Amino acid sequence: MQRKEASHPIPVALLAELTYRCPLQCPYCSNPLELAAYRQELETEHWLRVIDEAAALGILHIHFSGGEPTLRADLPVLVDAARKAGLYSNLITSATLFNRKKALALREAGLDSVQISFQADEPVLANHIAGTQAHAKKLEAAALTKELGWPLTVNVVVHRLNIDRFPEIIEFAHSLGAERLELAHTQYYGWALRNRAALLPSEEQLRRADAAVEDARARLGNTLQILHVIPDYYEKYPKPCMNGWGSTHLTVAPTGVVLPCPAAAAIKTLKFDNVRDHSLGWIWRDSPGFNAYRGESWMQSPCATCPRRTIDFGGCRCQAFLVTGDAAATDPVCHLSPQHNLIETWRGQANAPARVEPDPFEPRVATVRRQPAPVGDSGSR
Amino acid sequence: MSFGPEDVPSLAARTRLRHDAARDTDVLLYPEGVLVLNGSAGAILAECDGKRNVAEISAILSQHFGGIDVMADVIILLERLETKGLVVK
Ligand code: SF4
Ligand code: SF4
Repeated sequence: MQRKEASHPIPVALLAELTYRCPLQCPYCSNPLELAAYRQELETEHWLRVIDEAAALGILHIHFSGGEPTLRADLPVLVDAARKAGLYSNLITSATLFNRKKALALREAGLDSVQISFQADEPVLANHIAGTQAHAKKLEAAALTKELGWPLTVNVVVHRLNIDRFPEIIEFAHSLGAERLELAHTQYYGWALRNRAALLPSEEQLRRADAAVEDARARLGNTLQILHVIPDYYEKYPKPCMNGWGSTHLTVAPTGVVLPCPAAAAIKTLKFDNVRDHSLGWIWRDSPGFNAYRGESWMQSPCATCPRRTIDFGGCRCQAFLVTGDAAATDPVCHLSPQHNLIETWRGQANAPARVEPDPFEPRVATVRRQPAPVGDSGSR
Repeated sequence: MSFGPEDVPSLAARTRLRHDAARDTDVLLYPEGVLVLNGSAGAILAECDGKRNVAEISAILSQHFGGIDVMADVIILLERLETKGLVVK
């Protein structure tokens, strides 16, 4: 990626988390555990300013997400603003509220693409994971997306309960007419971390899943692009998280707090600034939160002298904080991390031969209904 | 899959081609990412309107570049984007 000034990279993508309200209760939800702290959502005017400032910063993509972004009645207004600012817009939706009226308004506003999350290929398991009767409505939404001519990405968060259905899930996405299928293993933040024991698959499950992807790629070729992101607990090295802290990505949380990574609110030792108080440009360039882990000067041993530090940037800061209590530590997923034994222990539990299945999981607690949301209805439940 | 002079390329429906002021370059946007286009790539794609064929596109580009034959470069670019599903014929 090109840099205009040596010290400040130009961001590429903005994740606009419009609300954390959601009619579903996925146990792997990456939203923060303290959902109640996010009820004071930004007003439309704030979002309009954020969108213009994002475009001026050089951001090219905006992903409208949540929670469930279609709960915000101003979504078409925001999509329209994104289109006018030249941003490519993507809706990331659980799709149970995506009816024809909403879809037409979004198409009119210039929405570019749609990503629908599914919990599984078949309704019983899917509804069990979602904690509600969501699957049939998602099927309708997928058909509507195709009918209205949007490119469709199907996203399935993968974990111990659905990983054995890879062949069926791939066929399912193909039959929906998706151009793209994201098989993204659960990342252990938020609710997912709490439910880790129930969600982390075994090594054997993972091997079979990978084989199913290879087989499908050979069969389906270009007709369905499959992205398979394996759980980093099974990797030797960590992921190059966000391509480096504060290098390409911004997340704006429902309250207006701006984060370098969607999970970064979990890092309690950092303060992140809010678009109610500062411009997006200042937050990106000058705020302490965004500068905390830019470059390499913050690194500790073994990262500080490791030749891979320019490849993986020492891994994920949020995972480092959540597992070791120090956000500047080496990502514990790395086999060189002094705390890697913790990951090994959890992996061992996931592979224990005497495991009783399935482990119970704790659904994400349904959002509280009486909230002072500035706009939007409170969902279907 | 390869392009010949008579083939008519167009950008896939899910893409958007535009100039980006912050980077001072053309970019091709699509759902999962972006291609930062350097040199003549943006100018070539701008001519892919679904009506002109490769020979015509190359002739237009050739005028921008003092008459040199650019057809081979045009074809390389189109084929690269076709494998990514960003250009169709
Ligand atoms: S509960 Fe499920 S659908 Fe809702 S935001 Fe969380 S992961 Fe997405
Ligand atoms: S020690 Fe740090 S830089 Fe080296 S591979 Fe591990 S996480 Fe990456």
